[in-house]
Amino acid sequence: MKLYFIDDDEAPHIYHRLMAEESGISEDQIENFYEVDQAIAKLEGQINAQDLSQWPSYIFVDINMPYKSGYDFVKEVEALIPQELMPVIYFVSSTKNPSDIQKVEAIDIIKGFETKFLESEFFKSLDFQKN
Amino acid sequence: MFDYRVKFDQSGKIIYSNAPMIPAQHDQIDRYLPLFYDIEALEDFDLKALRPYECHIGNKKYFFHLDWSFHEIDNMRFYELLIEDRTSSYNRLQKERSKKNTLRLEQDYLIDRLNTEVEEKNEARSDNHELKTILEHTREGIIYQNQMTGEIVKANHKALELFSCQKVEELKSIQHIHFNGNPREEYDPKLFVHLWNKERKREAKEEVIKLNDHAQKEKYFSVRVVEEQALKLESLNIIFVSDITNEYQSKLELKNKNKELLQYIESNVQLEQFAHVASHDLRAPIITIKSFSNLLKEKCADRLNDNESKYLNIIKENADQMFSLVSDLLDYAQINSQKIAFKKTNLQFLLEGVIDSFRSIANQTNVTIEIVNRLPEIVVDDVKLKRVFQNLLSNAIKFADPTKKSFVKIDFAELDDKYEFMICDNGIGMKEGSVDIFQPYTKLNLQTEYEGNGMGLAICKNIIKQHKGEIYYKSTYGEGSRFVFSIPKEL
Repeated sequence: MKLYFIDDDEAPHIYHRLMAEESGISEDQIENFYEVDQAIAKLEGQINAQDLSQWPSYIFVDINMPYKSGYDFVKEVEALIPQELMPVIYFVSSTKNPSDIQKVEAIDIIKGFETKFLESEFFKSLDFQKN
Repeated sequence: MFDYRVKFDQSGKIIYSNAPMIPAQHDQIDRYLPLFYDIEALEDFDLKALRPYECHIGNKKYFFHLDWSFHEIDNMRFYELLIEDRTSSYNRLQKERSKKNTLRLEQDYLIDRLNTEVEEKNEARSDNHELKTILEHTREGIIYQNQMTGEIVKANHKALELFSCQKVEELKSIQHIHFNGNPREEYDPKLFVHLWNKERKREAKEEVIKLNDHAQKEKYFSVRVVEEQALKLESLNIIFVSDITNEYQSKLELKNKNKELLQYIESNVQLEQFAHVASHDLRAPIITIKSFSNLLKEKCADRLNDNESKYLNIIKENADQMFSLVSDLLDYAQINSQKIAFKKTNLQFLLEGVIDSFRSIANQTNVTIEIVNRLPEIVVDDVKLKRVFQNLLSNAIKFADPTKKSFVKIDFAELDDKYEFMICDNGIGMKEGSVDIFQPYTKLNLQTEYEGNGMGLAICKNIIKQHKGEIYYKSTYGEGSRFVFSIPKEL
């Protein structure tokens, strides 16, 4: 199982890595991206190479990022990834803005909307059987 | 005596005739005179009682008087028809009758006309009197103006009064004073002619003009020009004038006030947007400080000395407080920026849900919560109203008096035009003071005594305001508080 974290801020990456590790997820299962394009490039590369060994089961993406937002990421992922390969995607933000909540509810491929920071209990609740 | 004679036998065959319209031989009498068709019946018939027999010979119309006789020879009956030509006497008679009729008609017509003229004169006299009364008592100034030359012909008292004139001649000078150009931009010395030319339409149109009256006082007038045909007056414009200086100035003042108000609203909206963005952006670093100070405390607790632990606690507590402040500010800004979504809501269910969420803390603090009367189902924004109940209940529990058995009672009353909801407690109550507790960040207690940022009631007030309702409270220090809010029945 692979977890992708997309956030322009270093602190959430460090914190989430620690919490994920506390929940039993190993360091090599975590990939950190600081902008949307990096993550898209990684996903696209795997599809083109037809090698899904590093394919993520979960993607945690921040909403407010410079250049491209979490919503831009979702748009590109919808166009890039076939439904059967679609990872579970969570939006993670410091604030649960009501307008964001409404928008997220309308996007099918978003599993949920969580506020920062995610604790180890959250990672423990993830379905580890998912590949 | 008789002009013509026609003899015929009992079969109707003509034996002799000197009448030009009836040939003498081989013809049956009934061919010419249908009356003689049944000769037997003829004997019982009085021909003289008949109207003159009317027939056409060529293009000429004749009137005949008919008579008849008979005699018998060898048991054969022979008839003689006697025809007298009365055409000329009848024509003369008819002419005389016609002439008499014509004379009678003319006489009737003349009498009618005379009566009508008398009536019309009476009416005109009455109309004229009425018109004069109206002209002199109306609140509008009325000016008669020659349509071609623009000359003022006549004006009522009100018109003279409006322009501070004593007589019509003075009023004429109004046409030549300087026209200020506001709100109209053009100047025309013959102001009213100008108006008329511009408004050459079939309907009267009202226009606001600004000018100085005869006493050089600046005034605003509402002017309406009515075309002469509408009043059946040749070549005259009728100008109706009203002084609207006060109304116009009030309108201008109102317009300016509205402009100011819009500016305030705009700046308020901008401020709320700023508060929203600022609080949203502030949350991210605070969460980071909060989370990492927690992490540090957890991971390094055994390695820190007392002072280091104390410093870390200060960082953590202040981060928590800053997080709470910013979150409340964000909530407050969001309440105003979010659109309100009204829907029919069962407030009993809504309140029961809120009470359940407080059950644990209420049990811990030994506070009983009771709904006195079942709450109704009404139209509200359920999410926002839930927040009102949450904030008021939270306060009632938070400020419970630990020295006595505490309670919170929620009740409601249906009034004519609104519903009233009451949240009463027997808590510590509030001291009297001038502080408006519905203002943001208003607190009556020390942070060390009671947690909170003083935003809860400000949020409640805003939500109730969005519902077009009111919120107020009554409190007695040491005895308890009673918060009341109302929601109108029609939103």
